[in-house]
Amino acid sequence: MRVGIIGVGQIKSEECKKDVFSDQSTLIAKAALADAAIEIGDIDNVVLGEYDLVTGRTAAHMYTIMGAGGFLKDELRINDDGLFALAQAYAGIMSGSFEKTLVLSTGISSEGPQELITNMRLDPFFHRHLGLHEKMATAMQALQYREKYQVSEKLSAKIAVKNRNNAKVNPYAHLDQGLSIDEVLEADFDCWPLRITERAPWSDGGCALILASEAYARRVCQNPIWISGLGWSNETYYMGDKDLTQLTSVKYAAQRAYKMAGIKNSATEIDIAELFDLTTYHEMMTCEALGFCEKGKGKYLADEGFTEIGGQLPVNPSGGVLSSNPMSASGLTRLVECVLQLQGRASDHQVTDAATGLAQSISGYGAQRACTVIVRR
Amino acid sequence: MKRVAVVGVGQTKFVSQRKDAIHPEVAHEAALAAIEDAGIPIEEVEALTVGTMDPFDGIDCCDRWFSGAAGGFNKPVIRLNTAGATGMSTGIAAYEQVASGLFDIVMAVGEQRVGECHDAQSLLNTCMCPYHERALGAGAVLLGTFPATRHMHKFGSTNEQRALSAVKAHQNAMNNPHAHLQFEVTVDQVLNSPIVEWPLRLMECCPRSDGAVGVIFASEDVAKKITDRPAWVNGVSSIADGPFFGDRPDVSYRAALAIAGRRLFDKCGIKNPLKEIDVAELYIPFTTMEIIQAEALGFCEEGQGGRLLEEGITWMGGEMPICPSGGVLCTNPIGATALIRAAEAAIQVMGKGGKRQVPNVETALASGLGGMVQFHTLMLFGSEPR
Repeated sequence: MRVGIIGVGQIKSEECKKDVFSDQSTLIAKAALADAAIEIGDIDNVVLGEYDLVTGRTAAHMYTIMGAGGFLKDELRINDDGLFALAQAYAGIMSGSFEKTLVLSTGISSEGPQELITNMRLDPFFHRHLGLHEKMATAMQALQYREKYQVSEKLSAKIAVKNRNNAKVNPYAHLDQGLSIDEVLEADFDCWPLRITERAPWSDGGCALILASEAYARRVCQNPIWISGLGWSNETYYMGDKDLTQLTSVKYAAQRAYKMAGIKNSATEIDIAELFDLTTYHEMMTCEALGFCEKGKGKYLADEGFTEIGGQLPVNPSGGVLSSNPMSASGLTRLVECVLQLQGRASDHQVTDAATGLAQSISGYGAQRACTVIVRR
Repeated sequence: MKRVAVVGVGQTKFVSQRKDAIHPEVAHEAALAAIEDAGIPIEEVEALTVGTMDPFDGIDCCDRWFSGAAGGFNKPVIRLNTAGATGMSTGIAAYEQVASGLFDIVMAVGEQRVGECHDAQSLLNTCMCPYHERALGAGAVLLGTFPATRHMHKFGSTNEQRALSAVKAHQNAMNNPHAHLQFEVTVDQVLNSPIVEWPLRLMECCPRSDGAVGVIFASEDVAKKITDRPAWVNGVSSIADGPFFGDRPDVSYRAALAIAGRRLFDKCGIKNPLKEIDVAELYIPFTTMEIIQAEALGFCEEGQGGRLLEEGITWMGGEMPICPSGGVLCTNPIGATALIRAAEAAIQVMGKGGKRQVPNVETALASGLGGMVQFHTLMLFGSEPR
């Protein structure tokens, strides 16, 4: 038995959505249901992926579950990036408990001070008083990587330019104005050594997918996309206990996903990858952890055109997280973009003839957790 | 699709505040107790599901801090949070991951330290809609009071009936070495304790606790190798109701729980729950809820929940004891609480209950509840696989 994706939905990422946050869930769910051409009554299970506190409250899913159409349905809510919710939804269908599941993630970053909120995720004894927040932690990773592998500012800028220019033709992207190398290098520092153009913004947005058992997917959908591998992993919480450039969680998550999908050489067997590029350096580090290139060689991939649309392995043709970062929905959006690519519906950022896609999500300080999903036509 | 059973359970002692340990240490204690109970090394646990509700502990996403110490280092870990129902959602997620064939052994760990929180009620108030309900200042106690007054008005239930629920819970907790509140109370003491929110009195309300629980789920073949008497997970069910209290008929939550119960019982072929289920560990943070849940789950006719208490049917030695552990009224580490219900129900089926063991348990039911009584979760355990 397999699990198929029969519909996807997104809303445009923006700096600040004006409507009530749970209304966004309704818009997202409606888009996904319309895409699958089924009705909410056909869905038997809703799995949410979202954080509390991001919207300034506890138990935020009290409202988003209704927005998602979960009334009187089975429900679970994963308090992590949405891609982890997808993994759980996959297990739910494979367990035989459900036939059709809506996986939905809403990220409304504008509702609260995300720096303060992510600082609250640190233990009160060793880390919190340092005043760290996740943005700062990504800058620490970037700095360590840059120093270790001697990455020039220009190589970093090329990744920013690639992703932000890809976003120009993605109708759902937040920062969709494009960038030049000079603009990247002249921008203000946000968190040294990162310039504001080299890191992800905070966005309001979200997305959803509809999963179905193989039998149902074949019945209602002409070109379902199949989940052929997935893996997730958790490493140490303390940033000081690890090499920040290695992304061990990504490595283990990918190993599990590759094994399940029977992938031996990821660089040649994967046709399109949507990665969690919180910073330009995270794209380099993730490419290495996923085995697309050797350690320390991630900096050349964009420079050589390997990861461009039209390159050997396009990375983030949607513009990636560098262009849109709806907190908690960013990882699930990676998969939605993979599905659009595999179905040939990615409008002007379409990659030709993609048959195998990889979606990658990371969460927590120093990429403590990671989830990798492989999908095929 | 594989059959799944619980093969090991571990709990910490629950207290008001664990001043001697930090989060990872508390979670570690429960996880260690669970693998020792199952008699397996931690290496055999392939994945973890972890549950905790933010931000009672004064830290957001505190699972990130404790998941390694609970055995999740370099392993797949998924974190659940469905408010009060978090614990059982964590169990359901672990069940699904094993039943799907992804893993053979998954441990669900719930940890919470409400003792770290200055005021749990004002924190819970933030879950309410800022436009309509938050300004009323309501916290969780409202979940007990509104349905209580409605039930009294509609069915003539009494303060004495509710007090019996507290008396029973405290009596049972004396038999549970893990329980937080360990003292007996009389009906008079309950009825003379201070009013928290009318008509609920202090003894009718749950405490706030610190502690953790671990439950190990295994696939059929593996479970049989680990233990001769696993607790088979014969059915799970969850349901979401609407968020607004005023939108529910009757300001009670009977309808949604009744639907979830019916779905579960249909799936498991249970026609008469009172006769066919031997023991129930229900999520009862306020005495009102024992009466309403018993009715919603079909243990008795609507309006008759108080009678079950008066006639001793749900006491130890009765036809269907409810909460032999002392339940939520005596122990409430919020994000772990619903998983404790599943753990205690599994303990009863495995025959490991010690002084709180109900004799000859073949079928045990556990429930969880979260949000403004918006989310219900149910798990049914059996001594034989369905």
